[in-house]
Amino acid sequence: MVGRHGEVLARHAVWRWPSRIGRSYDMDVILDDAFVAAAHVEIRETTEGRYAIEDLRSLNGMRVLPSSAKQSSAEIGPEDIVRIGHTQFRIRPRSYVVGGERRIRQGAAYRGSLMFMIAVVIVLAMFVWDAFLTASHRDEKALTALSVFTVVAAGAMWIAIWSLVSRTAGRRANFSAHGFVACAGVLALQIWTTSMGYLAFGLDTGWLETLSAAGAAALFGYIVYRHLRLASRAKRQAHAIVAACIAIVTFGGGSLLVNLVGAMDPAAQSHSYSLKAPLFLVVRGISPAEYIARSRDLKHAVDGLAAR
Amino acid sequence: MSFRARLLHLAVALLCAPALAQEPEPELSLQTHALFERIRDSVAQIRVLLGTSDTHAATGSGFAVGDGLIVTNYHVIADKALEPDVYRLEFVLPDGRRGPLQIVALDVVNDLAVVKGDTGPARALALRSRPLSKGDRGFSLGYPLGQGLTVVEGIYNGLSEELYYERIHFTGAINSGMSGGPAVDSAGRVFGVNVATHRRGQLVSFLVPASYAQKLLERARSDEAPPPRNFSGAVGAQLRSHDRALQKSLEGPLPTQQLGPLVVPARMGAFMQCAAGTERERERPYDVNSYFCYMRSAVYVDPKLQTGTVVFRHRVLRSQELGPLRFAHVQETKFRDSVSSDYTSRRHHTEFVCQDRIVALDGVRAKVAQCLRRYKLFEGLYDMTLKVATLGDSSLALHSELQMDGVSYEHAMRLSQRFLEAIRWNQ
Repeated sequence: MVGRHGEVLARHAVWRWPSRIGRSYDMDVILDDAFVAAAHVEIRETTEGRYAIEDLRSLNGMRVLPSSAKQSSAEIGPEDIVRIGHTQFRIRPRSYVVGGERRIRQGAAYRGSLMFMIAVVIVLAMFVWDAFLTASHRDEKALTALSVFTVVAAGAMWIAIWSLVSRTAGRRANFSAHGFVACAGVLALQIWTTSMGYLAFGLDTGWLETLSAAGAAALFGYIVYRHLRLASRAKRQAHAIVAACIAIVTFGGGSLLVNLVGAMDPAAQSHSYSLKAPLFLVVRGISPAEYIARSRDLKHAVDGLAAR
Repeated sequence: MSFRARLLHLAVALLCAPALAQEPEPELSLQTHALFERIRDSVAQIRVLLGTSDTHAATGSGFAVGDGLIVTNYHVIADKALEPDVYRLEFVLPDGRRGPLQIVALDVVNDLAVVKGDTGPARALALRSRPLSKGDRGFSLGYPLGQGLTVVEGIYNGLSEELYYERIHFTGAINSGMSGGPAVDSAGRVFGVNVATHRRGQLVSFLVPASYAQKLLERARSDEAPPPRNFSGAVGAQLRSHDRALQKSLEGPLPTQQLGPLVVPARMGAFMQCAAGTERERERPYDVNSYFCYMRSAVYVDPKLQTGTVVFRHRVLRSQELGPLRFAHVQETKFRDSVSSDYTSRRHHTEFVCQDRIVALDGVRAKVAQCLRRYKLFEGLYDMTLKVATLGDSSLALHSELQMDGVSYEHAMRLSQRFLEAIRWNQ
């Protein structure tokens, strides 16, 4: 018996030909599938590894995948999958050679709860440090505490949802591993955006901020990929595609939303507000005359807007 | 940033206090009465009506000057001048006669308009050519707050010294709806046109000197060409000429002032008012001193736009307790504050387009952000904001902002450059 993704669910030995498959007690292979007839198909071995299969006039019929058409009879080999009712199966001879067993991989170190705890402590320390930097007034401190709390709650929720997905997808919750991935991801995101922010400020380049956003999106995609790897057994490519889609939708939709909200304020002035400590400033700066000369571009842009 | 209250748009709660029984000065009362009787028929209520309805969008006052011409404020009829298809104008005289009005000529910066209608035998008021003397008595007439024709007594207090354009400082209770009405001397000659009151003052009112009305009338009478239907071209031209005048007033080296180790641009002329303040709060480990200079006279264009002003602000941020990282964060927060214009409308303005760079000023590097937007109805006019945040020290920073509304691009850039070049940090 084979699942939707080709995984083997159960194996039945068949000792004689012809053999019948159905739901009644006198069948050679009994299926507990309400959509399968009492006697659904009969199978004969034609040559070694080849089988003739015949539908016994069941209501729902029989199909040989990937075809979706009902067939009354067919000849199949050891790799063909037959579908009756909601059940899929294939037939292989005793002489069929199976592949070698897979090696048990040592669980990655990050799956342990110790690593998770360490990551949580580092992330919390980072938020406290950030709060210390940004809040210089008591009112702001309360606000920052609230935002840290929100982040912690959101993080816990994120980890819980991934654990639940892991659990329902069939195996274990992997709570610690998901927690570690989430914490390490947040840490990496923060380090990336902060360092890019400082770099963009110090070198006075606008495109580094674009790069920073693109990098953050990629990093987010990778975090989702790691969670997916923990949660399901599907192929790497499938995980990568899903993760990329989630990252693109999240960041693309997010920036679209920010633009839409920004456009609601007709007096919005969008430029970089980033100001860091002078010691991070690398460039010497352009002269006022050169700066003013660059404003030609602004004039062209607003003249274009007015002409629209 | 306007500190002028437009009479037309001022909402005032009427307090009906019982009048105190006082013994009037009989001679004066008689004089006022006679004067009022003589000129009342010349003062009309001007109504701005929406479409074909009889609903008032706004009301003001005006006075007849002969040949069917009426002088009023530009701001009374601004809606009609810029949106002739949406609004129409009507006059109503004290005897109940009414009729439609057409705009003949405008003086936007002096807030005057000449309109024409079939006013019949309404007596023309004479304009006084010489100014009054300080302390002289005057009478202002108009239709305040939807009331009937009202006469208000007041004192001529000379020309206001703090406005960019000449305005008579008149001490008298001018109210919303009296805009455009005449202020007359005791002989009944018009010496000023009601235009505004000070929002925070009491009885501090402003009149446009009659000489400007005289000039506009001469222009209206001599102009052979029929007046345009839509005046936005004329309004734009007058705003551009206001900008040129302003640019001329701002020529010459920028005055500067010392703020600790910093030298920054200071008040740029008598038409600017400046105020200093300090933001110190307990439990806040930094303080901010601010210096704010602005022009009290904005040019009224329509209810959604007052323009033609230059404003700037310096803020000195100082902290001994915060380290460089935390101080930088305070800077970031303060950099977002802006003295941006009160007036933004999609009808008038494009969106802002901005640039920001690190600029090497005299003795200090600074982040400089500049935003520009253009006027849609008036060719060649822009709003510009320039913001400077110095990056010279981990405990002291200057945040300066220059804002210019309704100026030409060249003017905006010339003053921006001079503003940047005037900032100096003495180590």
